[in-house]
Amino acid sequence: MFIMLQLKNIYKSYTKDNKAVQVLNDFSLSVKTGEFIAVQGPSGCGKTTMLLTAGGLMQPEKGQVLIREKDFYAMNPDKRAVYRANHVGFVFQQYHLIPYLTVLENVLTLNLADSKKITREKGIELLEYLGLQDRINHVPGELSVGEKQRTALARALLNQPEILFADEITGNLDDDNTALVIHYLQEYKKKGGTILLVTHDSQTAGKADRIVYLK
Amino acid sequence: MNIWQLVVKEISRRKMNFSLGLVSVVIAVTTLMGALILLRAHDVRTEQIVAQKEEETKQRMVLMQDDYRKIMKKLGFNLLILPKDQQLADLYANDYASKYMPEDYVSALSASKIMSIRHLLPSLQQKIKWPEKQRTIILIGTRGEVPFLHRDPKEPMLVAVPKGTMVLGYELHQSLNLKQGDKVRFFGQDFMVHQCNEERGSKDDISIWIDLKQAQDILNRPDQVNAILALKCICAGDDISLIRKEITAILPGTQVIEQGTKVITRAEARERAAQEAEEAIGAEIQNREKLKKERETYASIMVPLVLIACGVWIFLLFLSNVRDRQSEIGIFRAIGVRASGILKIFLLKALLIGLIGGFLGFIIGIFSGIVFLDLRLVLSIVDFRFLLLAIVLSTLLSLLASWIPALLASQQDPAIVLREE
Ligand SMILES: Nc1ncnc2c1ncn2[C@@H]1O[C@H](COP(=O)(O)OP(=O)(O)OP(=O)(O)O)[C@@H](O)[C@H]1O
Ligand SMILES: [Mg+2]
Repeated sequence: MFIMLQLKNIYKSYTKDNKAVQVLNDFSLSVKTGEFIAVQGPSGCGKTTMLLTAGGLMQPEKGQVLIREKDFYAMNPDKRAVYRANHVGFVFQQYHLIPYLTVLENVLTLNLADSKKITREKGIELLEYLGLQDRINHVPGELSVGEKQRTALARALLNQPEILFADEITGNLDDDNTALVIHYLQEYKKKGGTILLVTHDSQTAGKADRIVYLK
Repeated sequence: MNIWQLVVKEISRRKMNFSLGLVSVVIAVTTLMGALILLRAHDVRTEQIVAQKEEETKQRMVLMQDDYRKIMKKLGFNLLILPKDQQLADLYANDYASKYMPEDYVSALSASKIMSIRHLLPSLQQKIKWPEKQRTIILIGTRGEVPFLHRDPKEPMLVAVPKGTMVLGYELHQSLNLKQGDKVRFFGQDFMVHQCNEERGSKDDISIWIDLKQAQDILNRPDQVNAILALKCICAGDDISLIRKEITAILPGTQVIEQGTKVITRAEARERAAQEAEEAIGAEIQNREKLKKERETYASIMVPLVLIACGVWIFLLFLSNVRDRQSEIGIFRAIGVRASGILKIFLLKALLIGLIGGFLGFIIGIFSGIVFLDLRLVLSIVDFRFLLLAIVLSTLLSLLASWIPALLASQQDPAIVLREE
């Protein structure tokens, strides 16, 4: 098994009122290809910070992020963006759907990035797979939270990423929807996907191969 | 989905932000178009006014010239015909001509068809010593016949003097103590004083007028004269050089001097009128220039002010648009859109606002020009360069005003939005 992602001795702090708040302090983590890891820890411990750092969206002060053994932050921002477009998926608790675009259009915004061309048909196909065939032309304001989260999941999975970063994606969902999302994550893993899932819900975390605790 | 489609979708589904930006650009361009059309219209109007004034003046001058011609035709010229070898300098210095020509010339002239001459007054003049009184006088022999000359004592005395009589200048009758009706010896002949002239303050005061024939006898110049005064000549044209040529053709060996100061005065008056008209046009042009300067000053303050205000307005709109779309920007960055892609999203929107606003502003500017001025004037002024200017300017304005917000958007740290829950 290959190592998909490696965080090596990460230090990350924020400055608030001229005082440094140390969030990640010598944090290390290794994620193997095809592994499903759940990250748990108390609120404010730095789970989101760790996820954004791992996904190439937030440079740490110290330490290395190796993605497929390449130093993520040694790339320039544009290269990182291209890498994310082709190999990484993100889902957030807040969905971050574009309010003026329909479900299908939201999914197809992937084409704004430097990724391989994603066709309408592929988008529709994935949305049908996620049970959103009747919502393709709806705007996010017209969707339920479960549908919103599945739309966000569709956008994250459409480019067939090697690794999926998910931050509290079940936080707003009822049990049925949570189960549905977990089902799709497991399906993704079956096809060889790697997952780093942040959750405070122990039941969700229980579905993972491994649970990492952040203090 | 490409960036253009995204921009168009954002615009079409969130019309408010776009419309407000558009209105701002339209206002800016309309103001500029209005100012340009107004200033150009001012120039065109000035040209029209000046051309009209010039035409009016020309017509008035033609009328005036016609009037003068008619007046002059009625009054005629006063011409002095002199022997050709008469030096004009001598004539003016001595007050009389010293060269001679045949008296027949008078009849030759009156028989000619070139003009109708009312009065032809031949005269023979010479400075001479009056032997009986030992006085230097100017003897003038006349055959004059101009009755109304009496009314103007300043006119040269060219009245017919009866044979055997004389008219005495003021100085002469005063110093010699002679009165009308007195008898006096003159070159061995008896003369009766026919008239004593008033003081004139000229050589007339030492002049004696007698019958032409008698003067010719005394001066031993039979059938000779040294000047013919042609009074009130009526002729077809009013060109003195033409008349002069015609007279000298009939009377070779003469020269013709125009005595008509009235004609000169009229010509001067005409000149003056023309000059005044020209000055009036000049004043009008100056006035228009001044008005234009004022309007230009107004426009040069007004237009940049409106442009700046509209620029600030667009800047604020884009700033608020960027704020509203922070989450969108964050997720775009997360899925791999580059910073330059984010910049494009906003600049393309600005470009669309600029292009559409510029075109609409151009149309509205022309339309208001037509409403406030008139259709043909505006159409004669506006050409494709106005459209070009409108679109280039609106696009620049929109792009410049949105540049900083777009740059801020592209530099925005995606983590800040994505971390929020
Ligand atoms: N911009 C910032 N300035 C200062 N402190 C910050 C900033 N962003 C985050 N923090 C702090 O850093 C710590 C870690 O934040 P982070 O969002 O990573 O926590 P988390 O584990 O995801 O929490 P939660 O479970 O509530 O989502 C928190 O204590 C937070 O208050
Ligand atoms: Mg968090």
